[in-house]
Amino acid sequence: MSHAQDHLITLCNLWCEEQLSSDQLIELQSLLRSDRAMRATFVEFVQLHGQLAWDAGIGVGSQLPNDTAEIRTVPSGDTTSSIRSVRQGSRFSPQMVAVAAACLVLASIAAINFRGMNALQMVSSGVKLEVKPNSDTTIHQPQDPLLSSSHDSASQESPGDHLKPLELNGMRPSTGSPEVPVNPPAANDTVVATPGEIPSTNDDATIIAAIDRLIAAGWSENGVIPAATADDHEWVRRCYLTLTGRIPTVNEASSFVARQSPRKRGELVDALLEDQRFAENLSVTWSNLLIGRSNTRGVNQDALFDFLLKQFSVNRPWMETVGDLIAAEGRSDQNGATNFLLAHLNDKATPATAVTARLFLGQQVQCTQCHDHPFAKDRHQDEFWSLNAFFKQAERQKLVVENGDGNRQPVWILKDSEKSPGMTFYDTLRGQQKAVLPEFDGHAMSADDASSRRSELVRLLATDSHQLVAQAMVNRTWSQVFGYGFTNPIDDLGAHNPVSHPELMKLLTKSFADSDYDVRRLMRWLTLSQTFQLSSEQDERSVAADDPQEGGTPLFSSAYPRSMAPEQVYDSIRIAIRSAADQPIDSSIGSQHRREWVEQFVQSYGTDENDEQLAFDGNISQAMLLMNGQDIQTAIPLTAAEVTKSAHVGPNGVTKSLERIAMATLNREPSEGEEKVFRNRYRALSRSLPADQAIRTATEDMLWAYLNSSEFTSVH
Amino acid sequence: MQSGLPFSSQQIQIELPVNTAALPFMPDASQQSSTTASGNQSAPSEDFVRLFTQSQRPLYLFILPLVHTTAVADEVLQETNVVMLSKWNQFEPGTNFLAWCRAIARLEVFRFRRSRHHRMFLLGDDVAGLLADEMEEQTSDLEQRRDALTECIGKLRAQDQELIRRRYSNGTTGDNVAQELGRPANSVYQSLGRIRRVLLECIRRRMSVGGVQ
Repeated sequence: MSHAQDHLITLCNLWCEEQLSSDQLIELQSLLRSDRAMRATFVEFVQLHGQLAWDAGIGVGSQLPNDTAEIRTVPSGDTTSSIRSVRQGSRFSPQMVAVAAACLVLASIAAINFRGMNALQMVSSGVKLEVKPNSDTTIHQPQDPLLSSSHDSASQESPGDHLKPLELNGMRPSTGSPEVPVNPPAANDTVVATPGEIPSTNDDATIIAAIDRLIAAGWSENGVIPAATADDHEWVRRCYLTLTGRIPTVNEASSFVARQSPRKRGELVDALLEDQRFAENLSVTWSNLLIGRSNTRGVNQDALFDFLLKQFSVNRPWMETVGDLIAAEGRSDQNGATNFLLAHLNDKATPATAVTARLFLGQQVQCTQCHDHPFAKDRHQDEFWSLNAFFKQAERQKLVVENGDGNRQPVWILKDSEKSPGMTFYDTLRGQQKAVLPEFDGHAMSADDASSRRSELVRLLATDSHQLVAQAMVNRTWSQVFGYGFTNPIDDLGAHNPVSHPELMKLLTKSFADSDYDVRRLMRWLTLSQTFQLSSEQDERSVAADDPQEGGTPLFSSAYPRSMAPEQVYDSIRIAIRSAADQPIDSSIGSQHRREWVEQFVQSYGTDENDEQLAFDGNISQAMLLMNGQDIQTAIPLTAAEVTKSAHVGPNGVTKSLERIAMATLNREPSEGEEKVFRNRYRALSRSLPADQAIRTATEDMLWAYLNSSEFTSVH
Repeated sequence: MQSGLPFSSQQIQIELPVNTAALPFMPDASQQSSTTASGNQSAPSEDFVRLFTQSQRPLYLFILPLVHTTAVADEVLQETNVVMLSKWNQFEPGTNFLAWCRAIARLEVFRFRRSRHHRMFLLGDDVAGLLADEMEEQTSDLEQRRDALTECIGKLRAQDQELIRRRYSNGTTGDNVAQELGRPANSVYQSLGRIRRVLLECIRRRMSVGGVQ
């Protein structure tokens, strides 16, 4: 055996044990490229390994796929144990822990049954052989929608991070009557778009059709089969979470499901887009993006929020909102828009530069502060500083004013200095000093120009030949609606970063800019697309091909389940509890309480971007740990009492109580398994308790279990 | 098969594995494009099932060198099976069945490779293409090789046999084996490497004695 062959075998052995280092992998590749004998040996050796593996039964055997289940079912046990630890020391007894755990396990089994039914339907449609793999492989499926989000918390920028919508505590009570207002639809609107047309107009139906055509093209290129259309229960929950940042109430969901109109999805979307809660949701999202959740920099969060709310309520063109934020002047309490820059003018306005580029332009320039971008050949250090130069005129001043209560409150003033700041100087890595002028998109300002640099930047953004502001907003909004953007990360667009659907992103960018940056219409296009109607139950044949969580390119062939943002969890818990008890969703608990609650998860860093980290991974046990305080401890028994008030009277009282809380928390009917657990619990309790108390306690336990499920904290 | 592109999709004339018959829960409109294959609705013939069953081991061995772990090879094999079963009536009896399913497997491998961004442990596409070509030209001596392997294992020392048995029993890894035996992982890897080497040489000897070049 030649020396090279000998070495090859060493590498092959490492390959078989998955022990190759990246250098060795490169070496192996060049050996294999070099000649055919090497390839023959490699194949021979790996096949020897494969024969052994196959014979030992690692190979699936000569039959159909059926063994992946054991690989992926791990999370359920995990969840149970984490919940167990949360419950320790709380008021619940150990047996009840077991019940709650059993409920959770059953919650996932219920989903399995659901998929199993699909498989059964397939039997009846005559596809015999295929049935077997389906019913087997389904076992791992429900884990994904229900549990995966909480277990992949550490994964890069979790989708929950993109999705931070939510409403402020309901501004108005929502009570019994059917709540979904129905707007007369525009003449041209259709929910199911007809694919195959090229959008030549600025008309909604055409744009929606184009979305579906281009997304479907991605499916066929990759041989992916799209998920089924979501049923009304699944869809209405996702729609409310996406547009209003919280789950629907029992009444909202059931009146939607009961509606007969074939266009009811379009009607609900239109109604919610006009609703104040949509504006509130966007305002929370953008307030978090612009200045973060923690208030460490003395800015006026409320004023910024009010500014945003005003903008989104009247659907002000996004470009104008961006302009207002960048060019804002005045007092932080009087002009809320000033707070964005006031939060980021520290450190030679480098955070302001980086955050502006990232949020409004979808560009990550922070590394180019110190050096040219290592991968993106089009990103140079001077560009960072020429963008930075636009903020050089901005100054902040601190005032201390007395407010009504006699409390002294810091107020900042943001304004431009009278004189031109001249050139901006920076050091290269080699220690050379360089100087630049404000410049964007090929337009530079002269050093002695005393006009407002920020206003000039706003003007240049609006006339930008690349429409970067539109593109960044489109990509971010897409990821808020679908869980992933066209790029990863969503705010790093450029030649160096591949785009999953380039033609679609281009089309939406242009349409959004042509619509005069109409945020509601953008949202409408996305949520009325067929793509948004899909279920989160992925067709199992497409799991491998469309798996962005594993780093694959998102193909949007199903709704990607993702963790709720903490604001969404907070609001959804409130909705669930209050609507189970049939109480109005009042606004008496102000947004202050939610903010304090959310702040527990936030950690700020004094980095160049004034980063903060959200130590919230959507893991419900984490949320419950905090909620397990006063709030939940008192709310759950009260709710259970309310739900079961009349339960012992009617014959279906037991079932009805369970249905009520399943609808209130998960917006779906209880599964058979859940029902069984619930009945058993009830039966056991009624041996020692009067019927009404037994049912109340069983309902309490079950409500707790539902709120604890990962299904509850996912947007799916 | 020696086309310039690794995994060229022209090598096989199947459209997407869209089988509307298998999808009672398909979205209402727009996606139900022009999948015709009406024959798909019937179950595969007995002949097909027999060929299909026989093809599993060779297919697995075809896929494994093109991916990076046995687990992934299993996964891709399953995907391939699903496509084969949904396309079963596109196979023309009498033609080379293994070639037919290799072509499908090649596409599935390609799809798998494209769906993964982090390809740290994957060989490059070009290398995988060359390997696939190599295997497609391979004489079908896998059966003899397997018999030879069985004999060669029989000739190993008892403790080596035991080590191989442990390593390849139900999805363990070298690390697990090391833990079980309380030996350092490195030394277990070395032993395994040595044993595989011995097996390779033993098989080669037998194959040449047996007259297959």
